[in-house]
Amino acid sequence: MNNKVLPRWSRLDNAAKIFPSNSSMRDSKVFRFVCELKDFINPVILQTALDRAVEQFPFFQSVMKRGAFWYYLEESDIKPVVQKEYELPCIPLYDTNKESLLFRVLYYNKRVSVEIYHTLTDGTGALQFFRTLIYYYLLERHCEEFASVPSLDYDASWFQKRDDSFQKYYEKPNGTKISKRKKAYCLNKEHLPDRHLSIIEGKMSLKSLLECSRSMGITITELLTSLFIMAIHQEMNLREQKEPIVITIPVNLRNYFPSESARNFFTVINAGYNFSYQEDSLEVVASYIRQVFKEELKEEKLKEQMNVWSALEHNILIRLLPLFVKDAILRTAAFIMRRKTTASFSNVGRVSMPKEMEKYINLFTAYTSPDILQACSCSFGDNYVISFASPFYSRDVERTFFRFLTQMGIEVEIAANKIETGK
Amino acid sequence: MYYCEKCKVKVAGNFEHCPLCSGCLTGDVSKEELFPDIPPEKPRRLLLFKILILCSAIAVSVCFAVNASIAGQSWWLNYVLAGLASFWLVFGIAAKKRENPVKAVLWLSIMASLLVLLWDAATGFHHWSVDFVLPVLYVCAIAATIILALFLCLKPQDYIFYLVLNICFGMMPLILYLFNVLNVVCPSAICAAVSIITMSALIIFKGNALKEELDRRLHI
Repeated sequence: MNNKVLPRWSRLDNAAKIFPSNSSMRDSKVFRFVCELKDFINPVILQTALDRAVEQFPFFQSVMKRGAFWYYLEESDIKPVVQKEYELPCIPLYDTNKESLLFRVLYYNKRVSVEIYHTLTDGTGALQFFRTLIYYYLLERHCEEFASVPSLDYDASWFQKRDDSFQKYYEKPNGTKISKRKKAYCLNKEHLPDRHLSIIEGKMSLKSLLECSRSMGITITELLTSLFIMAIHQEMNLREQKEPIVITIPVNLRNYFPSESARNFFTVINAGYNFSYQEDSLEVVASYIRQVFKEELKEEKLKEQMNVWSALEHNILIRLLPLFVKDAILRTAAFIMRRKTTASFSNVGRVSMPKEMEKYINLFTAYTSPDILQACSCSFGDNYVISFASPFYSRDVERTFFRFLTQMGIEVEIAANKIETGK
Repeated sequence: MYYCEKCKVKVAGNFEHCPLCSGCLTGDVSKEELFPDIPPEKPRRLLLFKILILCSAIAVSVCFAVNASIAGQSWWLNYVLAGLASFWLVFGIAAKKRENPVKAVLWLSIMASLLVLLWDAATGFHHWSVDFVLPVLYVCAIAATIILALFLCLKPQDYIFYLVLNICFGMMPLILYLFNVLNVVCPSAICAAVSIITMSALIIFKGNALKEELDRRLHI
């Protein structure tokens, strides 16, 4: 591969600029994609697959550095190496004092995981990389069983992949202000030690979930968001009911603006529900959420929101602030924002792999290192997985959520990591 | 596979209690674990570090006791405290930046010059800091950076920016000379000469790398 064709460094995209200032031991801004295969992982083949995947995504072989005004990504010749999982999930990848790649590939029994620092890319970009990795792995692992070489449905040149789509679609915002939000209800529970995460995965059948949501006339995302809100409601005491429960939902902007970028290109919408004056029944919550989604997911609204965020980084006064001042400002802003969010729910959606390879794969799932409770959903074939990652000892919201689902007649299979219960 | 009667969920992996409701499980363990058992983290501070902290505490307490109990003495305890503070600042930076020695050199040179200036100012400003220590310090910092870069075979992007900053500091004695702060000129003159020579060499031999690095580090 001729690396010299590519420019050797790049600015962070608009969304990525927020993450480095806000990464900490507790909230590393690292997320993980997991693929469970039907066979035990062969690390040698996985390494070969990783080498080939990185060749397709040369941009991923970057390190992050501090400039005087901004962080930036610099291509590096550090070779990524697959590791047997031996550390806590989603621990920090960036250390100011030590250069390292911004992703790692892990395996354990039948699972392959990729952990990626959010500065490098968002869920969609990471998934493209992950699919490529799994594709090459299965191609090599079962080479004699494929009559012809299956092909992956992702087509983007090196340059398209490292494209900054925020820059591409930026227009000066026309002055509409994004409405201010009030303080939201915050789950106030005992925290796990720094770097520790509590993970609960619930696997269910996509078909039964679909039947369930169709019978109510809503989509799966709307159903799950509503159940999530209702599960959090159970945790509130009476005094806290006056605060709304606000769920943040990342939106993939590639669905609205054509882009093949494998970097960040997303924004977030918020769905708030206030039980002090809104009714506590699934039908009402769901129809309200449906309304919010319809309202928030309008193309013009998303575009305006994206432009307002991008306008900040185009402001010359902000650009001239030294990096340590920007760090302090962004940290404060994030602290204020955190008080306006209760939890977050990312819907990764259906993961597609070439038809010939589907029989070797059991499921895909994802989660992130959060400072708030975070849910992620992912489907592959008939396996629909909802994973919760939380920084708390208590798993009560998760329990209520999955009990809601089992009460609706959906069979759920739980997987969890072991956390110290504080006994 | 395990089953929780209360939550009505199947549980994969090996658990004594339901991960959701901590209730009892029925059934058998499923075949393989999905998550590895993570051994508890090692303590992050080394024993040496702890011993040093304890020694500092002992030194301060003993000095205080002696200083306070012998009448008619000046408060020399202050020097002990300042000395310990200086040691911990320098030691702390060196420990924290140990993974990136070139960066450590820059930070140490900045921190050491501040400390030296403070010490000189606090002890009656006899000019020893600006006359001798600063120029020697900056020449050493430049030399150390170059030696590290050569011995660790660093790539230009890993040391050039730090070297340039060290050179900028190396020009400081020249500024002090222009403002007539110095009593003894010779060390500062040598320091300035070394800085200018290093900068010229950098521009001549690594001009392109230097320009690229400055583009990256200073992009707005």
